[in-house]
Amino acid sequence: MMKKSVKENILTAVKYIVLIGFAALCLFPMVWLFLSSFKSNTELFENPWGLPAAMQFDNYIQAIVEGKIFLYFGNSVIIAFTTVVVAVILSSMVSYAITRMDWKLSRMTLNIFLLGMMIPVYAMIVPLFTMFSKTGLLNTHAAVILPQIAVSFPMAIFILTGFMGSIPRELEEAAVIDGCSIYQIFFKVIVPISKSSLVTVAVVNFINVWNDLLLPQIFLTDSSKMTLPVGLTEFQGQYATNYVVEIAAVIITIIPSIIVYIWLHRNIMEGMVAGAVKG
Amino acid sequence: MKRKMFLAGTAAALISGMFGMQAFAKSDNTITLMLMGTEADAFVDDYNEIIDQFNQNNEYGVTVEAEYYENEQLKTKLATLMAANNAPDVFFTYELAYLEPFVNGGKVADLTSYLEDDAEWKDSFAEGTLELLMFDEKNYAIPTQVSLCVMFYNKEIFEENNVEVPTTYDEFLQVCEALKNNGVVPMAMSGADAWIPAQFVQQIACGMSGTELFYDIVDGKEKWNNEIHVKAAEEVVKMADAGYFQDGYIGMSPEETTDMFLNGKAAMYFQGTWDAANVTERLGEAGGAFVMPAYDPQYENVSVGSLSTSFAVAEKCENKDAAVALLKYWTSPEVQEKLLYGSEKIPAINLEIDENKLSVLMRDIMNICNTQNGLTPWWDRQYGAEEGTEFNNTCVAVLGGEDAQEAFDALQQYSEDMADR
Amino acid sequence: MKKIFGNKKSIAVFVLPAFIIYSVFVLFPIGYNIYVSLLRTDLMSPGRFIGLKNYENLLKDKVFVKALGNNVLMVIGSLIAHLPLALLFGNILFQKVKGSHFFQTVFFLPSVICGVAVGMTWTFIYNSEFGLLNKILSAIGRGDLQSAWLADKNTALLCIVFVVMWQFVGYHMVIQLAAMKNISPSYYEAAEIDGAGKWKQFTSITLPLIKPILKVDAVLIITGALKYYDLVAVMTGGGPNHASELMSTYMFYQGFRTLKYGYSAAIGVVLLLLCICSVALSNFVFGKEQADY
Repeated sequence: MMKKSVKENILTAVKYIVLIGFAALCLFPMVWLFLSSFKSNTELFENPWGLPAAMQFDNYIQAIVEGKIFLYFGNSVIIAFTTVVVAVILSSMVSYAITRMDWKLSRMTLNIFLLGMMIPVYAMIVPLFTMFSKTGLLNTHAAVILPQIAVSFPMAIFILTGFMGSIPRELEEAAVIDGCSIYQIFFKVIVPISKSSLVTVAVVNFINVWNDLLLPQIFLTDSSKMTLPVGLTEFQGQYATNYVVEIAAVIITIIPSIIVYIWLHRNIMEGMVAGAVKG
Repeated sequence: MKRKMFLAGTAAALISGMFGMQAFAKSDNTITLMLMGTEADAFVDDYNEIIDQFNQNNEYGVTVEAEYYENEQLKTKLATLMAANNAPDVFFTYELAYLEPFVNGGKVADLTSYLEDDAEWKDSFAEGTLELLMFDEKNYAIPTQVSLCVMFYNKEIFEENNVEVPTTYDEFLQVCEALKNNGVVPMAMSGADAWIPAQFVQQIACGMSGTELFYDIVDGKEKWNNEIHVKAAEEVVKMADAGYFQDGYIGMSPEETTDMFLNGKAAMYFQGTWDAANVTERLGEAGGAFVMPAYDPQYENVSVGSLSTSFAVAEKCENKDAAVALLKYWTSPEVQEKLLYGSEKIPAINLEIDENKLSVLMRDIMNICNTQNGLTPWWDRQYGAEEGTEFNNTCVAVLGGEDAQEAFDALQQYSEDMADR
Repeated sequence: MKKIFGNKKSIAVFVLPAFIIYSVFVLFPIGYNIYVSLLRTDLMSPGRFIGLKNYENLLKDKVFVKALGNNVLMVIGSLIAHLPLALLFGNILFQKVKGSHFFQTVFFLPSVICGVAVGMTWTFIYNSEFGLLNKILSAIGRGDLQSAWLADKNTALLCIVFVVMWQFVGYHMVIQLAAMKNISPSYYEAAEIDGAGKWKQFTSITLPLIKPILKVDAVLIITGALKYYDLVAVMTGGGPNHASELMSTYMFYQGFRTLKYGYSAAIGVVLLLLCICSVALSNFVFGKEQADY
């Protein structure tokens, strides 16, 4: 190995400074927020930098008891979970039919679905609002779940057809010889070997639905139905100058995301970029 | 085949689960009530007591369920609910243009017959209040409180700095100058929500032309970019440039600004009387109010003001009788007194007032009320979210450094474009 | 065999549920939205057909033009941060840096946190009273630069664009890095033997080979920048005086606040067209080798 020249050493140092600097920029806001969440409002103004004088949990108690954060949390779980389950099942079925079954319109069907990747949800908000208000679905979880499922199809089908197209034919042929029906082939052969792609789709979908503000903000008007992001904006109005309680609410919202991220970060990163890099 | 059944079963379960969640059967015995208020508002406790009282004593056996929303959120939420035909049974509303589209859309119950049937109730309202909620000669909402803009001031700060309540516009500027030279913030102002500086501009304009300009614009006889608006906005800019508002006021939210005055960090605060309870609670005897002196002395005692709170009943409300009973209770002397003496809210009905029960501040405010020569409703109430909101935005733009004439020209242009949108 | 994979009934079972949901909640609303955009309606009183009037008014509406301009600024800001800057980070990490995985994980983190929470966090940082930014400025002796960042019409939008840049650099970096990792090391070995420097290697090997991914990524960046909503809704609500208004927030405001649903729908149509155009544009700029969209 060659000895590193001075120039290279400097270059390496610069690299690390850049990387560490940006890493700090990513983490510092959250650390600051976390520390501030234990302060009182006066302390926040007088000593925004330092550690809290005493660990106060009052802010958290207020956010949970009066701010109904856990209620919003539960709604978010219901909506995200239902959406992901239905979207993954249905999109994997479509992808299977498109890639593995023989029918004339399969290519066109795929294109119709993929077209949806370009469509911003804003181009359908007003009609959806009218439809839901006419059918009485407004202010029900279904009003968020149904469109969320529908808009998740393009990306999910994009990723899944990419994967399923590469499965060798022999596997299915063997199953047919064993006397499996098409449904058995799908559930017993295809689903197990597509597991990693399905997890990818589920993860991306979950993050999108969990973080979305627009649909629940418009379609859920009753505070007992609201999801976390909408609940937080509600909070911003109600606790306008009680910053520390707002901060505590933000912390409660992001902590689960961060824990899940630390736990599943490989899948999440893989999943979220899969849409661009092809799953 | 079994697989298929399983699939169909799962799908059915999921779908029914999704729809099942909506099962929120609102029984006939509930009246939903949408109110404006936040955690920081002192009157919310009083409101809740009133609702409890009504729940226990009403002859219809109904229970009122109240939800509170912050001002901006309430406006969006109510609009959405209205369009979705999902309005709460009884809801807070502003008067005039705000309520009009809902009335035109047939979403608001016509209360005329209830008022006709109960002449005593109808006659109890203060003069000119019911009219602000009438469209096509029909009553669509009931005023519960009125309010007007006053200059709140901190008597202790005034005394410490040897200044007196100003009676002329020049004296007002002198007071500001003196306070500033003593290192005190003369006036707390907020620029983050556009309506706050806008109501101050409107007030200065009232002092320049009385109520005439307002009604000329409403009648289409005068334009938005008339010289009085421009001059009024420029006066406020002069105050800002002279340092009469706190540093960074343009970025401060109304809540932060109110806090500043309530914490004794500013000597004056121009705001609607709805903040009176908070002022009394925090400043006690030191809280006072005066009417902003007019720029042109012949237009003294003309203020920005109108209704503070009104309640309307949704057309789709299934128990209108009970809803009206709630409104009657809310506008009964008993409740109005409670809100006046407890939450410092100016009643919308004619009431014998016991001066001794009023706080120091409320005595000032009731005095101002009784000596008014005219009121102009806030522009954003008269015009709603269109020209009204744009008037507010225009005022902030001028404070932010835009040329006043150009800004109001743009507003006039907007108003003309608006005509066919 | 053919019988099983060509069975019409089972194909229908696989495809129809999704297709019906997709048609009802995506395709139909788009068509309906175009129709609504030709109406003047508040959804309460009966609507009135006014042809292209809404679109005509949009062009004359200063606020909409402002919002469109802001969106363009958002696109430019995002492109700067998410192509060159992300590429720089990605390229550094590609050079076998210690802790590479750690840095990726940290850089990526902001993009998985919900926009509302991110927006509120930065609102606190920009706060004129206790916000970190002003405190940092006064700590380094530049207290004179302190400002009410989100309330000043000159800085509000830039502050938000900065947050967008910050939030998604890691996301795009990881996309680009994944593409770089797919390049066979033999190219670099050959270049090394030819004595090509790092910069030369980057421009003549890395860049051309990840071009297809860059194209897809550019589409994601542009359509993403056209669609931002959460941050502005939380941080400024489009204010002060529409200075940070985006098409998305203005659409929400016109529809769900001032009850001009037809006008609002027209903004939705414009957004749709812009998204389609941006896909076409990046096809044009990057060439057509991959027709995935």
